[in-house]
Amino acid sequence: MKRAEGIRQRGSEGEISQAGKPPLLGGQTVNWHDSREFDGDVCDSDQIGRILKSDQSGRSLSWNLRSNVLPFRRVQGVPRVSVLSELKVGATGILIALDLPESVQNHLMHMGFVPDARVTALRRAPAGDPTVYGVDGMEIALRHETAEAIRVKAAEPDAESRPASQKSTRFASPKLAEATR
Amino acid sequence: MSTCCETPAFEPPKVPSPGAFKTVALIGPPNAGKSTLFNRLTGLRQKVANYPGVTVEQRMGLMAGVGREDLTLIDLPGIYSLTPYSEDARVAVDVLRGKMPGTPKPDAVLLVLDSLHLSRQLMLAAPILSLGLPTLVLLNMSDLMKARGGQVDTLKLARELCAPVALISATHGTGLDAVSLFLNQPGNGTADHPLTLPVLGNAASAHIWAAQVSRRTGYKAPLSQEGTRKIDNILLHRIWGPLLFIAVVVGVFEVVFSLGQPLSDGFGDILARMGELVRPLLPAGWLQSLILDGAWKGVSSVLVFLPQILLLFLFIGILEDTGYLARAALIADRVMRTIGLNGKAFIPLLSAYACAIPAIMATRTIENRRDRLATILVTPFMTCSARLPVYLLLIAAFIPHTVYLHGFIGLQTIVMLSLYVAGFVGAMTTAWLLKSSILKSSETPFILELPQYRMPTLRSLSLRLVDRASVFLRQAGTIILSVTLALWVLAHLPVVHAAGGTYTAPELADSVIGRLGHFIEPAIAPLGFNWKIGIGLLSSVLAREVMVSTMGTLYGADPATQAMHLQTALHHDMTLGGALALMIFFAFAMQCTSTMAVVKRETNSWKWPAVQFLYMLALAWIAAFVVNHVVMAIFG
Repeated sequence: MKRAEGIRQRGSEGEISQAGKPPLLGGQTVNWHDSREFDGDVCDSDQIGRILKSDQSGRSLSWNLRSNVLPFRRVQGVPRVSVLSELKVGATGILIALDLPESVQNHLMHMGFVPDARVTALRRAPAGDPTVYGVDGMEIALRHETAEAIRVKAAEPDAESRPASQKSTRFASPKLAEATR
Repeated sequence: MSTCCETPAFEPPKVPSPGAFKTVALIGPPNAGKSTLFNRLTGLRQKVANYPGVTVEQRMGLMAGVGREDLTLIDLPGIYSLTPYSEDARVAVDVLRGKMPGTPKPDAVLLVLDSLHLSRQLMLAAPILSLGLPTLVLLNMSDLMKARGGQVDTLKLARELCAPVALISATHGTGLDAVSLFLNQPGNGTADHPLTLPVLGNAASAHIWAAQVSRRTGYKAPLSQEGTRKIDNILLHRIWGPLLFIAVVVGVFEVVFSLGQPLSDGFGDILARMGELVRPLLPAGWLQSLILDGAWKGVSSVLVFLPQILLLFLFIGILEDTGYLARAALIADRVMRTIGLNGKAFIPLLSAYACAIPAIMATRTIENRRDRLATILVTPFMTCSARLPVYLLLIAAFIPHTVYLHGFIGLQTIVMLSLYVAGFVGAMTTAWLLKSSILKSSETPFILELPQYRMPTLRSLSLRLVDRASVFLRQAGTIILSVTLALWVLAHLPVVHAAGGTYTAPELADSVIGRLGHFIEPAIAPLGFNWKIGIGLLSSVLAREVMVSTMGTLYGADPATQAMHLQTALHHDMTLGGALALMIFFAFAMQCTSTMAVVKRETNSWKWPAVQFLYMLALAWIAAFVVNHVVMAIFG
């Protein structure tokens, strides 16, 4: 882990090296839904088909569709992509993806760290670490090494007022909705 | 203290209700106010505070608060989703699915959401609604939301969720008629169109869904947290933050001494006078001796510390209710990571200053099993309030009342603080040893939600104090009283056949207790303890404060010290080295059967409490030995 940190920090902004971690999506089958969760009524998912832009583990698929870039294969030279730990206090970033173990990632996403969410670095603890991040009006403290595995891009000023959820609605697809059945 | 944390036995209602519901569960994200609502609806007093993870196990009660004694309400730990991340969340999910033995499966749900952060909190609504149980959605803290300019259309929200929605304030008890309405008319949902939910178990889709729902229902988030941020600018400041933290801690102990000591002395005088009032009413002889010199002297020697313990609890209550505790964990994370734990372990450790038992339960919020075990094993080192009577007694008896810095801090406070620091250092060193050997694990991420600051209500603070006082009195009336009576009897056996056909009590040293004391004396003599202290140590294995009552009884039974105050008697009977060694012994030794029982329950084996007990005993013995000899070399 120590070594990986060094490598990552050496990379300049937007050029994040792979740092020894295998791509998380590699070789992993995508389950459309987790049958354990379907104890009760199954909802009518046609109406909110856009939710299907993500697979059950919460990884965004819309990135495939939008940019032809797999979310976890880090491509060199994509501009303005950074990690959360590099956000200056007071700066806001838009979350792109999380690169953490499954359970931690799932937990963080349920706390609001989902793709397209706006995350603000609010303050650092007196010792300089952890850092308090604001997301969805909540304040959540993360250590440097956790924040380092969360990729963000700089927030565009004009997107300030637009809710994150509106952006990806056009990827709703009846075919994908069918697949969840 | 043993009785403070046991869940009282729960009896389900005998006559099942004619309606559809029998069991209702309270569920919601952490720190949404479920336990506050539980207390409102049941009239019980579940612990509430302002940080996530206060409730770590299910708790059941009858809904007497809304006149439905036939219904069982279950309070559950907070969850973010139905995929549990830590032990407390697993409890909640298991109960909700009816997989928790001993707890009935709930057939209706009260979903409690914090209306200040509705768009985030609605994420939980999807998996809960998908359970298919009748659900009432309660938007808590609505008074705060409205006061800060937030709003939401509950009717639209009810239509979106296909479930009734009500604005409530659990703290002030407003809007609760919606709960009784819901319970009296089961099954009248507002469904007029099919419920649409996101893909379950998928956080991203749940987040989008929640954002859309809150937008469609016209949710306007309240102006947030300006106050909280301003306070944090100071309390989490690079320099002022840690300094204020230390100042608060020192201040607490200074107040416990400078304000608490006169209170305790006054209280002690009242107790002693009460004893003297009763004396003429009793026939002189063994009965008078048993009741006054035995029981009353023993029990009242512990009771006098009630004011000081309540003061300490008042401060802990203020720290917990304002929301500062989570900030303390944030500040401490840097220290905690050097010993291999993370800042989250600091919250149980801090609450162990009150009592180790709820603290050990609170470790359920620590996700990593090895981290959790390490925290459980070091928790008894933290100076719990049961040690306070012992420290206060010995400090008042042996440490001169000298003040430094123009009366700003006293020598007694310094000794007290060093004992607390000794316990903390013991905990940290042990944790470091454990984490760098048998409990080594990869670092787990530190994820901590910081609550907004809130003004503690007088009601909740006074309820805490009343509860604490009643626990203390119950302890004094049960364990301490029975130990004292047993000691008095053992101190007066075997009866000696005196001249003239009468039976009298033996000399104290020849009694059963005296012989037992002299038998163990060789083991403790190197620490500077006499045999009476040895008996005290034996009895304090039950609970630490029993030490004080044992001393009260033994010195009360000894004719040489009978007339003296306990402080004076100790001062005559012990050296300074022995007294300081005794304090350090109490700082390290694990003398609490209830803590051992709860460690056994949480770790599922007797191995860990046994290891813990022996390790702490050995450490206490060595530390006391060193202190005794060093102090005697300097002052003796």
